[in-house]
Amino acid sequence: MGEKIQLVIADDHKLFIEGLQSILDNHPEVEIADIAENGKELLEIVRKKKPDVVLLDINMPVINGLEALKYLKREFGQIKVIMLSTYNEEHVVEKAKAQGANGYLLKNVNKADLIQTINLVHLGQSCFPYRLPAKQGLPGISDGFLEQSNITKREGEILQLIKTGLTNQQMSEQLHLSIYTVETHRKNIMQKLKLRNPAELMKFIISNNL
Amino acid sequence: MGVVFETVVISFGILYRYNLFKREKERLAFELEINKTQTTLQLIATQEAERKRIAEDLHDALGGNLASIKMNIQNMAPGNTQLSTVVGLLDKASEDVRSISHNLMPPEFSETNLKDLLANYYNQLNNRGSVRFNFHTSGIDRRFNKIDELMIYRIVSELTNNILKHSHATEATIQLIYYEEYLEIMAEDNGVGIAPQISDGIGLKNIQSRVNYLGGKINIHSNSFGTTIIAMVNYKK
Repeated sequence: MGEKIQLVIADDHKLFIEGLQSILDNHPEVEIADIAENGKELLEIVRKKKPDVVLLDINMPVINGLEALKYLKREFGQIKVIMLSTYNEEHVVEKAKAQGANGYLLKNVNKADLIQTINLVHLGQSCFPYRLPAKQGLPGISDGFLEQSNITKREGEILQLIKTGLTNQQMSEQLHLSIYTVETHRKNIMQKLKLRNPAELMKFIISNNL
Repeated sequence: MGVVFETVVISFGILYRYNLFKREKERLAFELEINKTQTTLQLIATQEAERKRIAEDLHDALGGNLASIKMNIQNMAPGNTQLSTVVGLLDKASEDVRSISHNLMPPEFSETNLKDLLANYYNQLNNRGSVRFNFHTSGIDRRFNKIDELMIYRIVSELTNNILKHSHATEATIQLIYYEEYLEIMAEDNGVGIAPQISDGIGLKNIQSRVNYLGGKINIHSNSFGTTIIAMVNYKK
């Protein structure tokens, strides 16, 4: 006693709680101190039991998980909170992180990952789902400036063809696009580079040595 | 003489009545147009509310139950290979429920801005799909109300679905460019083009009707080198 991590679970899903209980029953490191069925109940329980870690379902009646998280972090900053969710969306995870969550678990988590996350968060680490880095450069054009201006690969091609002096008609034939598409690309390039007329565009191409 | 006078008076009378009818007809036509717009709006709002409800029920109830079943099963017999097959199937089912419900309505739609939602959407597609999506936005966003944003989201995801399902493309670029007066949506792919029998398919019709609803216009160009779809939607005054 006293050695085990004291855990409070907040979830309104009975079957899920039973699953958690069966997994954590007689576990050497973790002990379920209490269970709350909604955010309001959770705040009362936490006030009384002062647990080490709270497993908090995002989707709950009365006060939802993210709201409850805010209160918890404001009033009991030292208590670690792991969000439980069926949502794997980056912006939901980010929101939880921004509001001070220490960890984030998907509800279909494996037993071993669940226990590891509880342990790590208890030790003061953050545990969030791993994300693949999304950003990728433009193949072919490595010009940092163009990338910063949000120029797409196709727009880069159009810039190159403008430089060689091709007309819209010639570009549309060469790139197998409609004239309207070429015109739209030109318009978008001007908008993105904040240029007002074709002369400025030409000047831009030359002075940036594209 | 009397007859002529009478004829003139009656003619004026008829002309007056005619003009009255004409004005009445125009007024009714105008009202009908307003009614039609309102009905469409209501229809869309009801449909979206229903989608949201189904998406949440699917995700929270069914998704939650699947997670619970997994949680319960995991503790039954550790190392049992038959059970781990079942757990694998449960994971697959959870993933299916998630993607179906997110297609119906992206989670936290009303609290999240369109740029982030779409960026997230394409990230997920790029992590699993066969088409490489490049998603670009430029200009100042948040110029639409949430219903219109949802409409734009639907246009973009319908365009994306078409690319995924029919284009055989390996790469696609989706752009939202916010101009001073309008939003331009541009979708380009390097696929095989729209087959003639699909060019009036349901997907394109859906896109067309949503663009119409927003009072925008759309231009489609397609050949064996790929497809470019450009839609422009004005901001509401």
